[in-house]
Amino acid sequence: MTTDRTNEEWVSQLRNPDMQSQALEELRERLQRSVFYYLSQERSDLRGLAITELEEMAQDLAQDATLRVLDNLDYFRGESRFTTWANKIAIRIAISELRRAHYKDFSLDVLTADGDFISARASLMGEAPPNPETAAERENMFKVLDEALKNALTERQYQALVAVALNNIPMDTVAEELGTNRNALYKLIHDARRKLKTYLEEQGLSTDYLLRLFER
Amino acid sequence: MSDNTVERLQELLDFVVNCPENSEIESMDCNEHCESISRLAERVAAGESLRDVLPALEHHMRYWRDCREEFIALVSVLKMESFLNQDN
Repeated sequence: MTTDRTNEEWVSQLRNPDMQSQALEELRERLQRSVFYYLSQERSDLRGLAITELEEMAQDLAQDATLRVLDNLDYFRGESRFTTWANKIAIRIAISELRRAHYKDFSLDVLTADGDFISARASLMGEAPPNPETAAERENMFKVLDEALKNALTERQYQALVAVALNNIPMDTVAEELGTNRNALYKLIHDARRKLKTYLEEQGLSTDYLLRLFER
Repeated sequence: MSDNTVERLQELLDFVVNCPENSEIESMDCNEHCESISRLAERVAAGESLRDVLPALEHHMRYWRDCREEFIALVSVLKMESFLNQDN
């Protein structure tokens, strides 16, 4: 049974040694319920797991989240409900953990600018193009894009951009591989975008033309 | 060349050309303690449209799937809590 608390009550009780234990337990229960809901109702990729497995996962993740909330109590300003803020931390921990497990064998080393990455992908799959002219134009543009990615970007920029924007690898996974954080990764990717755009324009290729060429 | 490859190339090009650069929004996303996102999620869970509340964040989420996934998950959990509170 949990107690309704105001934001101030949550914070003061979590800080008060005499009241902390009960508040922590209620927070943990609440976060466990949220994480379990997320895992069981919102994650189609976990449908194959037994309820007991999901409960155990939720329990572990909620435990981590509760400790994280406690560690970061000083950051809470009261703009949102305390429980929303705590849920945000818990959900982010849960999602990050699922991403980490899913991509545990992923390495950015497979994304090197040495190979014709885009062209190789394209030629692996044979499907009828809209018309022969467009097909030829696209094939040629795949090569141009490969060259642009190789010539315009550093290895690190290439890996970050291709991983996130083309391969949909989660930012936290890429950031971890690159030994950086999400904030720095945003900057790295924006730098890569700008350089690539400039390079293509210098080659006389307008980005509007490219977007139209690959319109479906 | 498959439709899927073309679609992803289209996504890459769209990303390169149109992805918004908004350091304020990105810092909201990066800082896991940031309450602005929590407050926005509360408003969206209560029925407001993110497009109306903060279009820049909606635009950001169109290109950054991690941020989108986390926001949608939080809104979903808040709706569940709201439902349970109504029930009690």
